[in-house]
Amino acid sequence: MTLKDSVAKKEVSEEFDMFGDYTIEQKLDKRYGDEKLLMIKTGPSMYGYQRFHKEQLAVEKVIASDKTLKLGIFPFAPIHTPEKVGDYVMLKLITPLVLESQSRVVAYLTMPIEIGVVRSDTGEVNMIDVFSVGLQYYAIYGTPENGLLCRYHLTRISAEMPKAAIYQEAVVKVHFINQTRKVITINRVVFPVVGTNFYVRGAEAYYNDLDMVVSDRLSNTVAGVRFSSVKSGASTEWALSEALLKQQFKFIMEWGL
Amino acid sequence: MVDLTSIFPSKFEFLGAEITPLEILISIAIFAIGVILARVLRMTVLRYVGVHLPEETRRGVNRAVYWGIIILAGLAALSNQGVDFTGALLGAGIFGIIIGFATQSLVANLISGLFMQIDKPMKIGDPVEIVDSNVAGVVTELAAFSTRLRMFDGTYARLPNEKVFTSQIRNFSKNIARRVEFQVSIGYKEDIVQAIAVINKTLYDIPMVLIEPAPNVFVDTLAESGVNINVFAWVPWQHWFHMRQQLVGQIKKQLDAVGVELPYPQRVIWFAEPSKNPLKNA
Repeated sequence: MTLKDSVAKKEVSEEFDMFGDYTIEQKLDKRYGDEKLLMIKTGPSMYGYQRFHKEQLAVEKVIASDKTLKLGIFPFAPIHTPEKVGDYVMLKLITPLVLESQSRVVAYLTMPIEIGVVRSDTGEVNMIDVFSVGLQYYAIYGTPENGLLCRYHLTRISAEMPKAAIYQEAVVKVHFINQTRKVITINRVVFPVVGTNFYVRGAEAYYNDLDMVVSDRLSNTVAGVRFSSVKSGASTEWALSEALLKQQFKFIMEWGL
Repeated sequence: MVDLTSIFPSKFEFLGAEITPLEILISIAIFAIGVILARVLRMTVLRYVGVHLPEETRRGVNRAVYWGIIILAGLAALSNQGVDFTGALLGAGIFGIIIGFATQSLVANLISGLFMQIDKPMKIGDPVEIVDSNVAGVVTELAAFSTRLRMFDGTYARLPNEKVFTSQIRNFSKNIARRVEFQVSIGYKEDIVQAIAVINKTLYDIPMVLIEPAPNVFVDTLAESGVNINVFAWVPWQHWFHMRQQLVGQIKKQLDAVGVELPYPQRVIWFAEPSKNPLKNA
């Protein structure tokens, strides 16, 4: 299934509350999995925000605004909950990918997301709340002495666009490029995920395409991961969440592929 | 008309050298330029280099640059007056030896402080244990002569750098993760496989227990009262204390939920002769 074919899935996502910008006239009531969000205008320039986790009050805030409040509810980098311990994501492949020498292949993975609630009327990122739907897992990439703490996610690798778990996962397309003269087995993809480079359509999320270039460096085989120059997510039916865009990054996976 | 030369004699003697008012003005100018230069250089170094340095190194560099230039400027200003430092240096050498003997521990602390800046066993904000001094807390200051800690009970501790440098130091934040280790004992009649599965599931459901390196749960010993199971789980170092408190309680709760007995110390007693207790025999 290609991106355009996935329009059919839109019907499915309409059962769910959508990502996007919302203007709060009097009240906003949204549900994302077990999390229920409630924003109520309590006075001329006062709004009350509440989030309920499984019907139990989890977060409560008062927001002062002398103009009509606009909220953005978007997928966010999955690094904030339950507490921020790092900026990286490790996508562990359930089935390793074996890449022939000097070859390239395009495949789809899923990655975890968090949901951020931001004020979208202030012109700058003003985070009100961020939460995860479902459990979070963390792992070390490298060693405890000099490795990186990463949000951990198990994913299948597929040639066609997979169906991601609504509110929990985004789809990410990875261009795997093997520049070495040997067969390479890839078990994981690790990269920093700081911004909100997610495209959204209804309740679905799609991350900026990635390039993973495997090469030999001295006696070690490493992989460079960065945003791909091919932006297949930026089709007309997907909107880019612009709260905190990261332009480019490059991360070298030097502690194993 | 007042004769200025009578007020400001053309030459007078200072520290054995003949100097003129003009030379004094030049010396003052040299020193003033030195002070300005020290301030400018200190700001420049802080702005371009300091931002990349740790807090304690930044402070050291700041002081070294400023006072280094001030001292050089002072020496240059005095040299301009023709002051001969040979005697002063000789005197300073002898004085230094006397002071050195008198302040051996002070110098040892200073040197240890310098070596700690190179060795970097800890930095400000790190939770550490100075094993030999039996002190544990968060580092608040790495000064020239001493290391200051805020102990975990909130009290303040000041340790001479020499003691810190020669002591075994445990830094709890040097590595990104630490292992929580404890033991759970289950009754002999319980299913070991089930108990281990319950413990693993409990660990898996707690986000801050790392998936990689994977938790390790295994039977350690067949003890007097029960089967001892070791639980090793890696967590981010910031969460170690909280996880150590939470995990034991969570595992107990989950084992209770599936009816796994956590035994009290118990002993099976065999009587060599039949008991004389009529109730027992009945």
